[in-house]
Amino acid sequence: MSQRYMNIPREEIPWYPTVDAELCTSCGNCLGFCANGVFAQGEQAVEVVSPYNCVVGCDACAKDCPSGAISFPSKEELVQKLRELRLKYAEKQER
Amino acid sequence: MKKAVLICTCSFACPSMKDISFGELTERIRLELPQDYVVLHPRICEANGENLMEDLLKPGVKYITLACKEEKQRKLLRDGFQRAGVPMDENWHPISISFKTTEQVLAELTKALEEEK
Repeated sequence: MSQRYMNIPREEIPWYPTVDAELCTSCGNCLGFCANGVFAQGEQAVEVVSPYNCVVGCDACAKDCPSGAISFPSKEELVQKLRELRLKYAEKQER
Repeated sequence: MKKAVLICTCSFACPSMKDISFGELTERIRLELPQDYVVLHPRICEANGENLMEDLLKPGVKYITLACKEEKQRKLLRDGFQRAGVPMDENWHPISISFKTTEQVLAELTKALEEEK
Protein backbone atom coordinates (compact mmCIF):
# COMPACT_ATOMS: atom_id res chain seq x y z
CA MET A 1 0.00 0.00 0.00
CA SER A 2 1.54 3.30 -1.08
CA GLN A 3 0.69 6.14 1.25
CA ARG A 4 2.01 9.56 2.10
CA TYR A 5 1.99 11.38 5.42
CA MET A 6 2.56 15.15 5.32
CA ASN A 7 3.61 14.57 1.70
CA ILE A 8 6.34 12.18 2.87
CA PRO A 9 6.29 8.61 1.53
CA ARG A 10 5.12 6.45 4.42
CA GLU A 11 7.95 3.98 3.90
CA GLU A 12 10.49 6.65 4.86
CA ILE A 13 8.96 7.22 8.29
CA PRO A 14 10.35 4.72 10.82
CA TRP A 15 7.21 4.51 12.92
CA TYR A 16 5.86 1.03 13.58
CA PRO A 17 5.68 -1.35 16.51
CA THR A 18 8.30 -3.82 17.65
CA VAL A 19 7.18 -6.99 19.39
CA ASP A 20 9.38 -8.49 22.09
CA ALA A 21 8.97 -12.19 21.38
CA GLU A 22 10.01 -13.10 24.91
CA LEU A 23 7.27 -11.01 26.45
CA CYS A 24 4.57 -11.81 23.87
CA THR A 25 2.08 -14.42 25.07
CA SER A 26 0.34 -14.69 21.66
CA CYS A 27 -2.90 -13.63 23.30
CA GLY A 28 -3.98 -12.04 20.01
CA ASN A 29 -5.15 -8.80 21.61
CA CYS A 30 -3.17 -6.67 19.16
CA LEU A 31 -4.49 -8.62 16.18
CA GLY A 32 -8.02 -7.60 17.08
CA PHE A 33 -7.02 -4.11 18.16
CA CYS A 34 -5.25 -2.99 15.00
CA ALA A 35 -7.62 -2.49 12.08
CA ASN A 36 -4.85 -2.24 9.53
CA GLY A 37 -3.28 -5.68 9.55
CA VAL A 38 0.04 -4.55 10.99
CA PHE A 39 0.32 -7.75 13.05
CA ALA A 40 0.01 -11.45 12.29
CA GLN A 41 0.40 -14.47 14.48
CA GLY A 42 3.83 -16.04 14.00
CA GLU A 43 5.07 -19.43 15.16
CA GLN A 44 6.43 -18.25 18.50
CA ALA A 45 4.91 -14.82 18.92
CA VAL A 46 2.98 -12.12 17.14
CA GLU A 47 4.96 -10.56 14.30
CA VAL A 48 4.86 -7.18 12.59
CA VAL A 49 4.05 -8.03 8.98
CA SER A 50 2.85 -4.71 7.49
CA PRO A 51 4.79 -2.04 9.38
CA TYR A 52 3.88 0.80 7.04
CA ASN A 53 0.17 0.23 7.54
CA CYS A 54 0.76 1.52 11.06
CA VAL A 55 -0.73 4.99 11.59
CA VAL A 56 2.10 7.47 12.13
CA GLY A 57 2.18 8.51 15.78
CA CYS A 58 -0.32 5.90 16.94
CA ASP A 59 0.86 3.64 19.75
CA ALA A 60 -2.51 2.61 21.10
CA CYS A 61 -1.81 -1.10 20.59
CA ALA A 62 1.14 -0.84 22.98
CA LYS A 63 -1.11 0.65 25.64
CA ASP A 64 -3.54 -2.20 25.10
CA CYS A 65 -0.97 -5.03 25.16
CA PRO A 66 -1.44 -6.88 28.47
CA SER A 67 2.13 -8.17 28.61
CA GLY A 68 3.93 -4.99 27.58
CA ALA A 69 5.50 -6.72 24.58
CA ILE A 70 4.86 -3.91 22.08
CA SER A 71 7.06 -0.84 21.88
CA PHE A 72 7.49 2.17 19.60
CA PRO A 73 10.15 4.82 18.99
CA SER A 74 9.71 7.88 21.19
CA LYS A 75 7.45 10.70 20.04
CA GLU A 76 10.45 13.05 20.25
CA GLU A 77 12.36 10.89 17.77
CA LEU A 78 9.33 10.88 15.49
CA VAL A 79 8.95 14.65 15.59
CA GLN A 80 12.65 15.14 14.80
CA LYS A 81 12.52 12.67 11.91
CA LEU A 82 9.40 14.30 10.47
CA ARG A 83 11.13 17.70 10.60
CA GLU A 84 14.04 16.31 8.59
CA LEU A 85 11.79 14.59 6.07
CA ARG A 86 9.55 17.62 5.60
CA LEU A 87 12.63 19.70 4.77
CA LYS A 88 13.86 17.04 2.37
CA TYR A 89 10.55 16.91 0.49
CA ALA A 90 10.06 20.69 0.57
CA GLU A 91 13.47 21.03 -1.11
CA LYS A 92 12.51 18.45 -3.71
CA GLN A 93 9.33 20.36 -4.54
CA GLU A 94 11.27 23.62 -4.98
CA ARG A 95 13.54 22.06 -7.59
CA MET B 1 -30.49 16.19 25.52
CA LYS B 2 -28.06 18.05 23.28
CA LYS B 3 -26.21 16.07 20.64
CA ALA B 4 -22.57 16.62 19.81
CA VAL B 5 -20.57 14.84 17.13
CA LEU B 6 -16.89 14.28 17.87
CA ILE B 7 -14.87 13.07 14.92
CA CYS B 8 -11.48 11.47 15.43
CA THR B 9 -9.55 11.49 12.16
CA CYS B 10 -6.73 9.24 13.41
CA SER B 11 -4.18 11.80 12.14
CA PHE B 12 -5.80 11.68 8.68
CA ALA B 13 -3.43 8.76 8.17
CA CYS B 14 -5.26 5.58 9.05
CA PRO B 15 -5.47 3.24 6.06
CA SER B 16 -8.86 2.06 7.32
CA MET B 17 -10.22 5.61 6.81
CA LYS B 18 -8.78 6.27 3.37
CA ASP B 19 -12.22 6.42 1.71
CA ILE B 20 -13.50 9.20 3.94
CA SER B 21 -13.25 12.87 2.96
CA PHE B 22 -13.08 14.43 6.40
CA GLY B 23 -13.59 17.92 5.02
CA GLU B 24 -16.81 16.97 3.24
CA LEU B 25 -17.96 14.81 6.12
CA THR B 26 -17.57 17.56 8.72
CA GLU B 27 -19.24 20.21 6.61
CA ARG B 28 -22.17 18.01 5.63
CA ILE B 29 -22.75 17.02 9.25
CA ARG B 30 -22.72 20.70 10.18
CA LEU B 31 -25.08 21.73 7.38
CA GLU B 32 -27.38 18.77 6.93
CA LEU B 33 -27.75 16.80 10.15
CA PRO B 34 -29.66 17.65 13.33
CA GLN B 35 -26.88 18.11 15.90
CA ASP B 36 -25.85 20.93 18.22
CA TYR B 37 -22.20 21.03 17.21
CA VAL B 38 -19.49 19.03 15.51
CA VAL B 39 -15.82 18.84 16.48
CA LEU B 40 -12.97 17.43 14.42
CA HIS B 41 -9.80 16.32 16.21
CA PRO B 42 -6.77 14.47 14.85
CA ARG B 43 -6.57 12.03 17.73
CA ILE B 44 -9.08 12.18 20.54
CA CYS B 45 -7.56 9.16 22.29
CA GLU B 46 -4.20 10.80 23.01
CA ALA B 47 -3.27 13.35 25.65
CA ASN B 48 -4.22 16.36 23.52
CA GLY B 49 -7.64 14.86 22.82
CA GLU B 50 -8.14 13.96 26.45
CA ASN B 51 -7.41 17.59 27.35
CA LEU B 52 -10.13 18.61 24.91
CA MET B 53 -12.54 16.11 26.42
CA GLU B 54 -11.81 17.29 29.93
CA ASP B 55 -12.65 20.87 28.95
CA LEU B 56 -15.54 20.08 26.62
CA LEU B 57 -17.54 17.17 27.96
CA LYS B 58 -20.37 17.76 30.39
CA PRO B 59 -23.53 15.99 31.54
CA GLY B 60 -26.68 16.59 29.51
CA VAL B 61 -25.00 16.09 26.15
CA LYS B 62 -24.93 12.89 24.10
CA TYR B 63 -21.53 12.57 22.48
CA ILE B 64 -21.62 10.62 19.24
CA THR B 65 -18.04 9.69 18.43
CA LEU B 66 -16.95 8.81 14.92
CA ALA B 67 -13.68 6.94 15.25
CA CYS B 68 -12.17 3.45 15.16
CA LYS B 69 -13.96 0.22 16.08
CA GLU B 70 -16.50 0.64 18.89
CA GLU B 71 -14.78 -1.76 21.29
CA LYS B 72 -11.50 -0.01 20.65
CA GLN B 73 -13.08 3.39 21.26
CA ARG B 74 -14.40 2.14 24.59
CA LYS B 75 -10.85 1.46 25.74
CA LEU B 76 -9.26 4.53 24.18
CA LEU B 77 -11.83 7.15 25.16
CA ARG B 78 -12.54 5.85 28.68
CA ASP B 79 -9.89 8.02 30.33
CA GLY B 80 -11.13 11.17 28.61
CA PHE B 81 -14.69 10.63 29.81
CA GLN B 82 -13.40 9.82 33.27
CA ARG B 83 -11.31 12.99 33.40
CA ALA B 84 -14.37 14.99 32.35
CA GLY B 85 -16.48 13.30 35.03
CA VAL B 86 -19.06 12.24 32.46
CA PRO B 87 -20.43 8.66 32.53
CA MET B 88 -19.85 6.90 29.24
CA ASP B 89 -22.90 4.69 29.55
CA GLU B 90 -25.32 7.63 29.59
CA ASN B 91 -23.57 10.14 27.40
CA TRP B 92 -21.78 8.20 24.70
CA HIS B 93 -22.80 6.68 21.37
CA PRO B 94 -19.86 5.29 19.37
CA ILE B 95 -19.86 4.75 15.63
CA SER B 96 -17.04 2.98 13.86
CA ILE B 97 -15.87 4.67 10.67
CA SER B 98 -13.22 2.08 9.86
CA PHE B 99 -13.42 0.82 6.27
CA LYS B 100 -16.36 3.09 5.43
CA THR B 101 -16.94 5.80 2.86
CA THR B 102 -18.13 9.35 3.54
CA GLU B 103 -21.65 8.42 2.44
CA GLN B 104 -21.74 5.32 4.63
CA VAL B 105 -20.63 7.32 7.65
CA LEU B 106 -23.26 9.96 7.00
CA ALA B 107 -25.96 7.30 6.71
CA GLU B 108 -24.95 5.68 9.99
CA LEU B 109 -24.73 8.97 11.79
CA THR B 110 -28.15 10.03 10.47
CA LYS B 111 -29.60 6.83 11.90
CA ALA B 112 -27.85 7.34 15.24
CA LEU B 113 -29.11 10.92 15.53
CA GLU B 114 -32.66 9.70 14.88
CA GLU B 115 -32.27 7.04 17.58
CA GLU B 116 -31.10 9.66 20.05
CA LYS B 117 -34.18 11.86 19.61
